[in-house]
Amino acid sequence: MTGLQVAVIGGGRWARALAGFLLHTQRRSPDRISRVLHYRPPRELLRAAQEDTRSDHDVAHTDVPAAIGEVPDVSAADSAQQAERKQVTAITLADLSAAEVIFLAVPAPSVRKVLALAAPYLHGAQTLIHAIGSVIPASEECPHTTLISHAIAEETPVRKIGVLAGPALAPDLEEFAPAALVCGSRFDEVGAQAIQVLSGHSLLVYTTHDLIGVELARAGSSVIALAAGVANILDLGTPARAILITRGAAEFARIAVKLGAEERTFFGLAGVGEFVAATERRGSADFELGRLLGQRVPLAEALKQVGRVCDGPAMVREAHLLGHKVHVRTSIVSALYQLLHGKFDTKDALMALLSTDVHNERE
Amino acid sequence: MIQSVLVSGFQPVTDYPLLRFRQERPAIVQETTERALQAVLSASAPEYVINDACLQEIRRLSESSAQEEVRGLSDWKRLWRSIGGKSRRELEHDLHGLIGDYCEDVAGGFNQQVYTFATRVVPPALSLLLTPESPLRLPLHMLQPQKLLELLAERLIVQGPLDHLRTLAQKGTLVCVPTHLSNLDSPVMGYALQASGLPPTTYGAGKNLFTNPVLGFFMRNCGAYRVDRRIRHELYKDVLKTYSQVILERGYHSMFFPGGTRSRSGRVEGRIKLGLLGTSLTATIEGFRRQAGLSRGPAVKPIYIVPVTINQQLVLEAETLIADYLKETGKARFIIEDDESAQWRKVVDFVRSTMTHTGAIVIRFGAPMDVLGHRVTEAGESLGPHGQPVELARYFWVHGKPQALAQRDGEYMQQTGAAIGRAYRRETVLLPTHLLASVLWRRVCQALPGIDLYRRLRQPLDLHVPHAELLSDMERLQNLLRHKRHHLGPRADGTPEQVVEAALAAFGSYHTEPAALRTPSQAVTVGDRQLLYYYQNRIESLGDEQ
Repeated sequence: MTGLQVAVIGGGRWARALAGFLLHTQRRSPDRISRVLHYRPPRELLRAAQEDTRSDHDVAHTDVPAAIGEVPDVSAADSAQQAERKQVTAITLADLSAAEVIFLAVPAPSVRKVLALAAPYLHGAQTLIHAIGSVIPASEECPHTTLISHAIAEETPVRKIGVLAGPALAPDLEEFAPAALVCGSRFDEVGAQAIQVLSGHSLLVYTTHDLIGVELARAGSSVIALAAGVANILDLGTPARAILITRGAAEFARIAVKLGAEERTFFGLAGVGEFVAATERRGSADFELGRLLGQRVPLAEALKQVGRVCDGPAMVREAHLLGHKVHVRTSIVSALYQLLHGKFDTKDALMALLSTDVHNERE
Repeated sequence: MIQSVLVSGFQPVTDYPLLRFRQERPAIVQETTERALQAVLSASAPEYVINDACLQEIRRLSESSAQEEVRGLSDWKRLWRSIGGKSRRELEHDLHGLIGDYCEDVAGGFNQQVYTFATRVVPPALSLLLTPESPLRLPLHMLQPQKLLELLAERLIVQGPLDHLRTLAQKGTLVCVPTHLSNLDSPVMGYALQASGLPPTTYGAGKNLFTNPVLGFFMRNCGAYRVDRRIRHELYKDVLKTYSQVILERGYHSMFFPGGTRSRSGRVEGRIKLGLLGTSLTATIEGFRRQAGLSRGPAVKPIYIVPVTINQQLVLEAETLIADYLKETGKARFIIEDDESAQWRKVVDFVRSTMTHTGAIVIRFGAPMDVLGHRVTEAGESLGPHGQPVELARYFWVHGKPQALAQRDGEYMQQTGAAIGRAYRRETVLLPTHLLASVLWRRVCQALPGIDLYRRLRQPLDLHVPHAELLSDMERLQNLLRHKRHHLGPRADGTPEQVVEAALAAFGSYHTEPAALRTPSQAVTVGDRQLLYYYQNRIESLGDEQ
């Protein structure tokens, strides 16, 4: 095996946790990873992108800028990793051309800007794997909702594109707690590289060709986390959580199948697997946002209070539109959509979340 | 950048790779044989390969009569029985012989005299014979070949970035990938290339076309190679792929119909069949490997893919093709052995109809791309999505060195196929018959709502569309197509009235029963609904999303 040069693009907590995790692997197995590079996009860029999007849409985004790169490290157990993290080579954009495998974890609204900046230094030999749990909303320049993988293909010369999803939250990577990820890519090579650089220690890596499925499952998890937050504050217990996870998976599967994904993906690690992790109270910004909304805190105020990247509200909107466009029923998404738009009281939303007029589980 | 050409505008190319073909043919056959053998043996043992080929051929030949077969039924049976008793060496020898025979059968030929005759003499002669005005009544000066060629150029219009393509043809190897509706497409393409100053290409043609002695003679001598689509075993497919790769590596401009077969439904190809087209990718990788000293052989010129749409106001075989489509939807398609193109009378009628109408056929070349679907500059440089130069070789790197990887390359080819499909949608030129068929088909659907296609085609229907309504429908469609930036052909861009007249004249000039005709009361009525459906499919398929 020849060690790969790996780069991480992104300044958020997950990106940092991943860089730390990769460095850990590099120390122990230089034959797998020869070098770890870390590029943090400038904060102005992320902020600008965030504001652009907000002015375009009625559903407000979070007050992200403060959060990027500033997330307080919740866990104390990661001090060893923190020490290691300092040895990750921080790089400029131009250095990206040396990387063979690049992980991308930046907020969805800034993806295009970051990619446009990086594009001159990217080339066809590279693999780019993103871990972004959202899609790019339609805008004036591009009238369609765009998957992140499509945006990568549109903005950069890279063809070998992958996506990561699964129950592996930042704290899991930081603490080397057992976790798993699925790498979706049309290319076997990409899956093999993901296994080479990520698998081992505490992390299991699986692969699939269903790129779109993994992407949409990942994006769906923020919506389910939001719904779970609402359910949590109302003290609904485990069965409600189970309903959200399984029916949420079914709902996103319905949409995704119409876009060319495989249903199975949603009942595997990328779907149900990640949903289970996302509906737990630990660490998820969207979950916290849901709890605040459940307490009838207005969206803008709730976002301010959470103070971190919340993909949920934007994804609710996009999933609602997508479902409409491909003619599929979306009950959980629609209930949340109404709630976010203040058209539903929490209680109505809840009733809508947990009620159905379709009784065939396969429909 | 886009230019329409008149034939007289260009000097035909005088120096092109196919001129070397006769000399190189033995070497090509030999190289193909050796490499195909190597490829086959690296994947499997000879006894399995021979066994599979024998069994498939025995089954096929027992069911149908043999026609110019490489081996007869009894030969196959003998070979099959002998497999068990032979050593590996003997089997490899047998396999070598078999592959050699296939290569010899597949490899085409090229004769400059025949080619010149076919491209310079036949078209004026045809236009002379088939021009609606009798040759006797033509003024004397019209009998000059030049005048006749100009007349032909009005009927068959060539469009596209031709300067760009001519430049690239000098630098590299062109792979033309036209849409496919008719058996006349390859001669039409041959004419279009010659008329626009582009070099002739080699191309694969179904073996059934070679059985016609006249057509066969021309095809054999104008660079066509033979593809026997009845042979299903892998060995034959490997031979074809190797042959195609070898000639691409040697710089012969090629043409593939990536739809695989004529579009039965009349739709623009959405699914691109990647079989032989994939050899442009493998040949490219081989070129990079030679450049890097990883593989031996002469340098391979860069390969450029050129999507082409062939747009015809009438399709020679339309009636048979659509009938076949409706019969076979969802099932494996059979190879039509006997359609309109085998009936001389029909061909003559068709050509006469074509010669009557300005812009009856529009051949539109799209922007050239590299084997991964990137745009290519005049200098032959590949461009990324935002116009930045990209280094093609890197896409094939494995640990910094170019290497073929079946799964990756298959995926790349899918993406290239999608890019070709998008180019087809962009570059399709719509002609009056398509527009009128679309307008009338919509009326048929409104008149027979809520039923499936088959019943819609058969249920009794007496539909007369008044002239004024038809014109307003037509105008609406024209505006919609313009808004979506589709190309309207020379006579489809006129007033609604002109379009309707042009379409009715075309429909009435060839098919057994016209798709639409005018009633005495000046309304338009629907004739052959299958044809109507067939011609409107061209427009309908432009909305297909990937």
